[in-house]
Amino acid sequence: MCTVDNQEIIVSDSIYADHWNYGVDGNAGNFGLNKASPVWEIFGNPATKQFDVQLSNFNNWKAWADPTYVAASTSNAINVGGFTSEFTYTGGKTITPDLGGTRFSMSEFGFGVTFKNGTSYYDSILNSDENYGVRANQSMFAMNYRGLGLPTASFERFSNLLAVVTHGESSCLKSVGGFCVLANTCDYYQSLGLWNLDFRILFTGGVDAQVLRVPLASFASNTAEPGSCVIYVEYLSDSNIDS
Amino acid sequence: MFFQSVYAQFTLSGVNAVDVTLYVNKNALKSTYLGIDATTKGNNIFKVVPMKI
Repeated sequence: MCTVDNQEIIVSDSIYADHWNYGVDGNAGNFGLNKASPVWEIFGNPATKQFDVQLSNFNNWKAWADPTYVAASTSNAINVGGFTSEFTYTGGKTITPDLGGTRFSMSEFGFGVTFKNGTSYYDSILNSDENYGVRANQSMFAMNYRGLGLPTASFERFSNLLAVVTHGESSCLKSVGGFCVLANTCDYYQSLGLWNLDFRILFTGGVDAQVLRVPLASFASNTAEPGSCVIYVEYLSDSNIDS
Repeated sequence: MFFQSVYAQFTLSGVNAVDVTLYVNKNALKSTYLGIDATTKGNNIFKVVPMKI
């Protein structure tokens, strides 16, 4: 990270701990602008620190997920010290982490579909495993994570649901870094309706009760060598701090 | 890839105060949604149909 003036340059090639996640090992890397980050010195350590994240997609969704899709922008932006004025948005939902930390609680986390007739069907993939203690049913945002990471119970449930809805065409690898692969390229599943499915999330700890629906297609991509469709819903090992 | 669907604004203030405001990314697929979801329960899309042998 560098600036336009003669100021501090911060470089790292390994991350062993992350103050963004107090006391949590960060061996796999976790990009976060926590309050203690030296980045804020560049901006005069304001009492209220702000940054935003806007990433464009790398998928050609028009080719397979949504024939009507038109990309609005090809630019990526991580603005530090304020929010961008480039974009106009409405309907924002503000959420707060538990106990001033970095984990966000969810009261609902489902995989399914919302039909055009106003009905919906979702199966819960919440992680209610009591072995997780206070971390059960919680989530984190990480800008350096390419997809959606799920712990054992949630990953197994999602794998089963994906296998059912694709009539057995999916394979999900339950090992660290494992993800799901479909037998054909992504475009094959557009006509079958697979890209109508999404993840439905209801966060707690917010000032409102709005749900967020993230399309399954957001996590899908054709492989470099044509022939299959990868869904980056990845397995997080319960016993591996790297995952 | 989550951030391809969602635009997020982070606000850090006070001792431990963190707020994240989520918006639909303007590059998101149109089925991305943030709002009041008042749907009723529809058909089970995960229903397994046994094979007749």
